Amino acid sequence: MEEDLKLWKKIRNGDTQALKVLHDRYYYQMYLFGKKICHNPSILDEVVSDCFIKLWTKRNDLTIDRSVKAYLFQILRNGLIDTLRRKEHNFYLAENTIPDLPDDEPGELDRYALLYKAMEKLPGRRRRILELAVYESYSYAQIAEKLHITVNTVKTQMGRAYRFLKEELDPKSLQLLFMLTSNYQ
Amino acid sequence: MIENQDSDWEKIAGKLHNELSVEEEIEFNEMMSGKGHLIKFEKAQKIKEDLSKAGPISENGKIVSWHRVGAGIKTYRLRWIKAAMKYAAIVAVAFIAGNLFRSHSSLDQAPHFSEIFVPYGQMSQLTLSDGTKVWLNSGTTMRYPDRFSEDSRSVSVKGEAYFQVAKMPDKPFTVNSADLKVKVLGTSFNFSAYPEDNYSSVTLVEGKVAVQDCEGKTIVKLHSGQIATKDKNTKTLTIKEEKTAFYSAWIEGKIFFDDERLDQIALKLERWFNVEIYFADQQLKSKRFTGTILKNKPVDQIMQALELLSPIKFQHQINSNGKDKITIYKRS
Repeated sequence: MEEDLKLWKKIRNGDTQALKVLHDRYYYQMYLFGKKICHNPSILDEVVSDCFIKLWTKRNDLTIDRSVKAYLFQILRNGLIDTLRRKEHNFYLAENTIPDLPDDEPGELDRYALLYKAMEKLPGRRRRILELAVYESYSYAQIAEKLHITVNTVKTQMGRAYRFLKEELDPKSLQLLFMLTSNYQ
Repeated sequence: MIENQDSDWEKIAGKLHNELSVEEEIEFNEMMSGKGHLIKFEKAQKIKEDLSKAGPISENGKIVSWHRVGAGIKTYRLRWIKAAMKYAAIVAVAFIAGNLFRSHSSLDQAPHFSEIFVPYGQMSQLTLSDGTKVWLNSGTTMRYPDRFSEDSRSVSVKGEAYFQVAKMPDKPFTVNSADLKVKVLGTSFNFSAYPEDNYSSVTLVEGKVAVQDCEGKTIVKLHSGQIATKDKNTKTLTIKEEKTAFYSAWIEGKIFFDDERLDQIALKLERWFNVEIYFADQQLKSKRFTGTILKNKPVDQIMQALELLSPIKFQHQINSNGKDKITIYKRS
């Protein structure tokens, strides 16, 4: 939170790099939160980006002294509802109740965001293979056929993808401890 | 040691995705009795669970979003500068000089290419650096430069994309695929070239385009409302008049069916909603439907609509361990 307020101070001074840091920090969380309200990815994409444009254009008139994150989520929720209530997008509005804003305590959105940040570091093809298996429930044989590779490659890549993600998500100190103990075995 | 780790992880991944053979299953169980492996497996299981719960996010989503923010705050800045110009010519001159300098130095750099992939069950829309708008359908890859060169604009597509090309008479826009090329000056058209389909097609919604072979030789010029389809096996190109709404509807999240068989529709629904559809009565498979489906509605609502249109009923069985099952019965 302290970090965010420092960034906000820089943004107020016209620092676009600070805006980018803030954007990259909250993009996944905002996208995932927005998905609960809006089922159309292209509308969602635009509204998420718009939040940062709004933050920038209004930077001199806004007073944020508590939480930049809370402010971003609030304009995201309002922005989505406003856009979707306009007649032509009505059918994209999720029918269940509008979700509460996430509080500042780390929760499931933060966990998913970390996971996606780890996914970014996967080599493109390995990520594609994992996505086909997880999101599309493709079998290894189907993935091999689709991507013109062997089933064996799929097998290796799947193993490496899980291994990488697990190591990326483990707190670094624990990983070190694990390495040490396995060396002593 | 490293090889060992690799094969351990292959077994863990294989177990999670039901891909273990009988022998591998035995090896897996042996491995799990060893120290530390259960924790690894549980962590991998949690990763899979979290990914499924969170759902797909486009690989380039974050980068594309920042491009959009960057463009958004730039226009805001330009507006501000225009206002300032009225009062301070010196500021404007300095800005123009600075701008010239910047565009000169950027000429020396080779353009950087980005690739965007849209997972199944998703669509994506982006604006290229020249202002051209592109909608990408499920399972589509597009490669494009962050900046276009001085005299041409060119992108490559695998899959389906709808283009609204920004008009620039002296800078043609080209879309490339394995089989076809489309060259335009400013227009809207739909381009479909999925590697798994046995054809590639171009549908013109407005304006004029030239369809070319891979060497850039013009095969035909299309007028609006025409579709050119190239058969991958026979290599022949056919031109037809089409209802263009049919080919651009997917960008609004709609799927049109034009006298299509129910088993074909079921295939699309299976892909889109990640469900399995069974026919209790095989004769129903050849029933034909014409209509529109909204991709963003729950699958139950779509099945209910089909029920209203024909003598069928359906049963939806929720399966928490895998895909939901939908069975289609004949209504007596």
